[in-house]
Amino acid sequence: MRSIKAFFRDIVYGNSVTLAIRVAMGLLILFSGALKVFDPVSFSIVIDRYGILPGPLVPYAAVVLPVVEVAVGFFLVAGFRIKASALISGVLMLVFSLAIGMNIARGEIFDCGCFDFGRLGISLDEGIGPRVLARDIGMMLFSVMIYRAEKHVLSIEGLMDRRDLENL
Amino acid sequence: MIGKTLKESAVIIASCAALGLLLNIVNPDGFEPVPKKSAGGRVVQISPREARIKLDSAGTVLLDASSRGEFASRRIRGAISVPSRPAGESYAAISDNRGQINSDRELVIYCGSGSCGLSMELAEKIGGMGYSRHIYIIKGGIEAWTAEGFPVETGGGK
Repeated sequence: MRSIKAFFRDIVYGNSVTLAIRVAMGLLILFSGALKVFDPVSFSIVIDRYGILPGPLVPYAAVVLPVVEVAVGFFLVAGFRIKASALISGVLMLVFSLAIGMNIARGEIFDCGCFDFGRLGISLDEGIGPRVLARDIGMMLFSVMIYRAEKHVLSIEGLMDRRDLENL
Repeated sequence: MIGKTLKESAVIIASCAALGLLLNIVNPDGFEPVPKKSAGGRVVQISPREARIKLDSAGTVLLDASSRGEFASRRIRGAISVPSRPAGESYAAISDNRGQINSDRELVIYCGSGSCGLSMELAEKIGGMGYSRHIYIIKGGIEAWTAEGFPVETGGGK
């Protein structure tokens, strides 16, 4: 029992499992943004379906959001500005979860447009529903975990910290 | 510590917003959220008769601002469906028909039934995307058009 507790404590502190979660989340967010960044018009249709943004703001969100995703994903993978990136990804996942939850409550069913695997020819059910909501909430919790972690193995930040210590 | 993180987050978001807008400008498939320098174009309301003259001259692009469903059931011959709502669909339709909209021909918009605010909305969207010439709106939309006895197409539209 104690070993399981210690296992989770190590993850929360930051170990190779934290690294795997950070890199996997980063890649997923990076991939999600990269697919949308050069097709803002299609992405604007997805945003509009959620019905949470006023019409004039939709194109701006469609233009900015994918770039934010690419940057946050890249930073998470590289291990640079980790806390800021985890904070942004956590807030994004919270907003996505609320938007999905609202549409589930309204009885609206449509493709969430989250990762757009269809563009790669991968058929995956991305319809608005409890599964997609649970995934986004899970990613939000992982973001919180990454934000709270004190140690980040294999990261630019870790490398910089080590160099600073050596130069003391 | 949280203050530093918030500051870094704000810098990331602001940089991404700037980069996103910049990418959008150079992206041929992007929006034009920042209007180009206007040559003084404005929205002009015209009567169905004036619209008919313009359409007969063949130097006109005619846009239907009503919903896809309304367009499918009834439309003026030669009209292109560019629904004013929802916004995403509207911007996509504008983008798809950018070549025609930005051609040398005059732009005439009409809507379906009701107060015809959709025509004005669509005109504002197109104007906001950099269209700098006059945009003509048929006063009273397709209702006024049919009241004049001008022909419409029904059914089978896409």
